[in-house]
Amino acid sequence: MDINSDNEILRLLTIPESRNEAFGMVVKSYSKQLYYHIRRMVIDHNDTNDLLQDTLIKAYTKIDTFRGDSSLYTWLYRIATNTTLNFLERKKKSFVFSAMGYEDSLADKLESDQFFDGDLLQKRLQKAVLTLPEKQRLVFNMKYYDDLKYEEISEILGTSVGGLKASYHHAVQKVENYINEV
Amino acid sequence: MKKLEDIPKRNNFTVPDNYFENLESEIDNRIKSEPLLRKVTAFDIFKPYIYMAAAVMLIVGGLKLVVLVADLKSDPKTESAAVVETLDYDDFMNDLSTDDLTLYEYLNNDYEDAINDGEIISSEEDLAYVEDYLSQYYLEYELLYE
Repeated sequence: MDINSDNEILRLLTIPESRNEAFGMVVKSYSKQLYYHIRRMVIDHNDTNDLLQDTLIKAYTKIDTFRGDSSLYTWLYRIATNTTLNFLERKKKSFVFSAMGYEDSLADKLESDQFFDGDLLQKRLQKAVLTLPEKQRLVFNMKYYDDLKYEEISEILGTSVGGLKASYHHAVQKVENYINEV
Repeated sequence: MKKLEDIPKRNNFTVPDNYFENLESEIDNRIKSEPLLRKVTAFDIFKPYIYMAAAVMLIVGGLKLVVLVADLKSDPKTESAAVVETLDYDDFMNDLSTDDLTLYEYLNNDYEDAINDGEIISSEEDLAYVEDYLSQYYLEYELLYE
């Protein structure tokens, strides 16, 4: 979605009569990217659907607070990221007294997920990514899968570009080490 | 050793049929049906802080009320005892008049001073008077130090 389209959507969002139509355009333009951004973190489709809808509803209610200091795209990504991180935090707490960590349960979900069609190597890559700490996992996914620029990731996560570059470099090393383990 | 760039980059996550097509209408229905979906006001943003400040004021006010009630219920005897404790024997002696001091000196064999002051008990009548006088002061002394 280009910036001119974003500006047009934002203009229509400020007009009460066209707000719902404009928000429909937001859902159509960005829901897929937001969906996979969330899905790569939580693995399960149903959880992803819930979090995506929460993200879009939050964006609808908070659209008046959007000041245009970032692009609409990164603003939506930021809401999706925070919603997902809150969800993962709650899930981890429910696993405190369990022998299995939450990350292990996500790897198990990947094994049995009917909505995952990758081969063994792809599955191993996904499991490697799941071993990364959450923030580092976000950096890896946004850089490797979404091909976002470091400046955009910096707007979403509030981390410096230098820090992000270092984080991504280490993430790649960890993923490669995991894949090459016997 | 396999490198990341050796692995094909694929999106292996799939979705149920027509998921994205149905998503827009689902979101639309949620926006229309959710009664709480409204504009966020400044009150919504500051509500937690306003409630916190009100709770702190209530607690402080409650504590002050408890202290006030405790003060009002304090024992008057305790107050009197506190006042009495400040009295000592010197204060008591200082309160006595010159005549009383003369009598005191006499009773403590300082009667030469008493003679010089012109005061002396010379009869049984005077002695009875003295005994009454002493018993009165002794009683008052006892009352003070109860």
